[in-house]
Amino acid sequence: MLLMVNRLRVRIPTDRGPVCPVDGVSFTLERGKTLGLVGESGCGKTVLCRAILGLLPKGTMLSKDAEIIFDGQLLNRLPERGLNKIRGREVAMIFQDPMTALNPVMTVGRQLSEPLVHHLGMTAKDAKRKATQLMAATGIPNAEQRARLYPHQLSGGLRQRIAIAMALACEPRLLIADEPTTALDATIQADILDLLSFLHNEKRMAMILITHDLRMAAARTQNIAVMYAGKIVETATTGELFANMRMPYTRALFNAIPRIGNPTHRVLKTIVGQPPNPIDPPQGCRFSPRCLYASLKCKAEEPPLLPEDPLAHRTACWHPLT
Amino acid sequence: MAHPIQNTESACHGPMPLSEKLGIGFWLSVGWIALVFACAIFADLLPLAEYDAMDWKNQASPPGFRAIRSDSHGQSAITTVYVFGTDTMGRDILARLIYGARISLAVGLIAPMIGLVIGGIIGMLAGFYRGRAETIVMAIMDVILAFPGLVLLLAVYFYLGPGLDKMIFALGFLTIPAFTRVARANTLNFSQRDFVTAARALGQSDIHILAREILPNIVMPMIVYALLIVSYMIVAEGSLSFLALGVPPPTPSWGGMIAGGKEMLDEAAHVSLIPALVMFLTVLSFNLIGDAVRALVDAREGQL
Amino acid sequence: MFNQRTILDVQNIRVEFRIEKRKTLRAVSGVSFDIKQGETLGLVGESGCGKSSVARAIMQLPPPTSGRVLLEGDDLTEVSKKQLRQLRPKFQIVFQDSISALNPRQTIGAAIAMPLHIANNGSRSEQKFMVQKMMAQVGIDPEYYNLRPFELSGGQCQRVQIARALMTNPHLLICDEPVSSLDVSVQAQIINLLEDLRCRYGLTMLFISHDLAVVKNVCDRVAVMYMGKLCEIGSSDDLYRFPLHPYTEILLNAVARIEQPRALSDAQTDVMDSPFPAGSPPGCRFHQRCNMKQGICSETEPEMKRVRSDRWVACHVRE
Repeated sequence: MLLMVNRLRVRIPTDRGPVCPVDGVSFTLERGKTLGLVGESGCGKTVLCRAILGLLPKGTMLSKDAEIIFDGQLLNRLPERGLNKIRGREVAMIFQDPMTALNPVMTVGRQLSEPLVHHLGMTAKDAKRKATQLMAATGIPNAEQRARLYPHQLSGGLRQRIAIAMALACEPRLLIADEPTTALDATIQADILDLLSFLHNEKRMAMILITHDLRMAAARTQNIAVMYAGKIVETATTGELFANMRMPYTRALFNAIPRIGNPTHRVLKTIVGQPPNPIDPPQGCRFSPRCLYASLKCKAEEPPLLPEDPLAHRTACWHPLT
Repeated sequence: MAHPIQNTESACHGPMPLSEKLGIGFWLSVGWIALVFACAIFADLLPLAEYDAMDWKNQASPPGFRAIRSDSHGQSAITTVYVFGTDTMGRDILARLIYGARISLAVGLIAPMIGLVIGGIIGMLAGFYRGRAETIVMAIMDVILAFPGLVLLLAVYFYLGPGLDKMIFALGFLTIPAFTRVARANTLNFSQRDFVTAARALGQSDIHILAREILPNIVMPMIVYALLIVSYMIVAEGSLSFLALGVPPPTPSWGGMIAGGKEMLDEAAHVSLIPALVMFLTVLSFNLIGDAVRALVDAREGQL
Repeated sequence: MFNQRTILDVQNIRVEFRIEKRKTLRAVSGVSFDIKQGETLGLVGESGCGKSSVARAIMQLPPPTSGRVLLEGDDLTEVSKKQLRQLRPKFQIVFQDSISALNPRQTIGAAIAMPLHIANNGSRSEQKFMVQKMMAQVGIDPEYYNLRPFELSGGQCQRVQIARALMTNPHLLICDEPVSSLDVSVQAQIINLLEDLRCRYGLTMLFISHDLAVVKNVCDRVAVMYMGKLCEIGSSDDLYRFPLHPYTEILLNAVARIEQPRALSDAQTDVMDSPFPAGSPPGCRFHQRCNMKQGICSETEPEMKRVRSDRWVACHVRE
């Protein structure tokens, strides 16, 4: 097991009272596998991934019995210095907006080679060569010339490739991709996703792909965890999940995606209402106010994620669909 | 600690009350400013000595000094307590401080107001209409900013003569460029937002867009800026009076009082130090209030 | 289908922005299309292709550098400022970023009432009644009348924008990426709302989006735009089934490729540094990315040519 997260609950104090964007989440990720973390904005998927690397804002609190175990190390008890050794080298992250990860006043070539000099102790010349190699490996043509450019001189797709090259520089064992293609055009989205799958196969690197689009996770992950309002509501292998969506939320989310094959003016299936207010989540099952199948039990009692076996198809639902 | 550990089972709090968010420093400042204001407004009703009555027997007497005077018949003795002592001409420092507050507050509040209104309007128009007019206006503002303020104030003093009104207008004029810049920068930011485009698309006239869409958004940052300028103006008035370019004597002003004591700093330091301390506290309070309001506005703005 | 009145007729508009002293950026270089009454036209293309500039040029915010925009016969680029303001209620726009499109200091009630306020229509209580009726129609709780935009979610703000645009009873509604920044479930709600309102008000719409799947669900006809020009226009069924322009094909493939990954190949689409090359190269704008280009493609720019009754394409090879 490469990564194991147990009973993770994150509490962030705000002006309007504390919120728990992640509220009791457990999952596992095997070496070299890909996990798709799917959910709408505000469901806690980004916070969850930042919590793994200890990248949450000050004042954030984790639950007492939470465990984040990466390769046998308990990350949430690690001091900052220990975490710094993990970040970037063992676990790397790429973000939705590649501009946030790039320094606007430094050429991309220098940004790529500097960590190689500092972290891996390469000579400047070797680092430069490696940087060019990394850029070429992420599918950037004319890498040597482009290494001399600044981030704003590159298109969005190329910037994301540079960000991926930076993440791969130290050959991490886990790559966390936080909505890596949301800011990009459809044609480029497919390219970047293909690149990520290729690298994942090539380098045997595990990956957590955070996305709001179930379709993206469909073909590029081995496992999927669907999150709603801070909880994992369904998790299974990707094939099993798509063959057999049992949680009404997963199915509704899938059905709400407009299809290119739909006839014009077809009424889409939607989920009524709004995602819950994180300060005051609903009683019982958090999806119950919007669920077509909700019963009185759903509104009163919170369903556990069952069965216990982490490898099985698990759902947190009192009335799973069949 | 990357992961502060704490039990998360504690009860939910409601929203943090405003008083807690602003902090004790803010409320102490507000208290002080309120006190200064109250004294300045009700100065005539307070049991104070005349601010220009000179007690020649008790010059530069220390704080808490009790002066005993005989009345016209030479019989019963009247005791006057000089709470903060007297100045070099034997005038009651407390009375002068309180009447002086009127001058300091008048300058400190009215001068920024002139800059706020005139600079705000010019800046809004420049930021909204852009084009050549903006370039010219901003160039003029740069010239005013580069012009040494003290030279202008000296010119005003020597050509128009001394007077509170003239000083306020001159100081107010000097704050116009700063307000223009703040207003223009904020207007530029907001006029590029889609809600302004949407108002235009609905056929809203320019004057309405400026008044209803842009003005409400730039008012808060402008007021916060004005609060910081208030303290500059109080200090500026003090400096001018110190240089004897301020209000003409015997009208008291804090700067003039500080200047009045400078000859006797070694013997009677309180004559200068007490007005200096009062000015310091007032300026500090305005700054603290300005910072607290700005932090609050920024936090609000963050939500928008 | 033949006797329908033309609501919007866009004739050869160009939009240029001055970016530096002597440098102009051509966002739109010669785009023409029309929209018939009750029809929804989709405008698709990648970011930076000039879709939003087309929308704003139609709104005259700012007006196009050249070309004509005819709304029910009135040339919006010719009429006086005063006439334009009187015509404005007839054509309205909904923006992508609904948070930015609403004044943060205004209650949503005041935002929706703005068109009534401008038209000086009714007393305060009448206005409130009309606003609340509209709020209910677009699916916002009328109780939210006094809330401010930051107290609402993105989807609700989008509903507020739609309500504000509909208060004027527009004949033409331009939607500039109205669902692009919304979550999947909310996106479907807003699409359904627009469909519902289209039926109820008989709206004519220009629907701009980069998401071909969304456009397919909403639009009768689709125009594909690449680097400031249209490459193809046709009814959505026909165009999606038989794409003629190679660029349309790439766009359609991208949608499929998100679900069906393929091995990394040389056919990467994003390797250009900028969607706008410094000077317009001669020939077809797409020829550098095109996999079936011929000699002529790098020499002369193809014109829009009619292929079938309702199908136009600008391609030397496929015309």
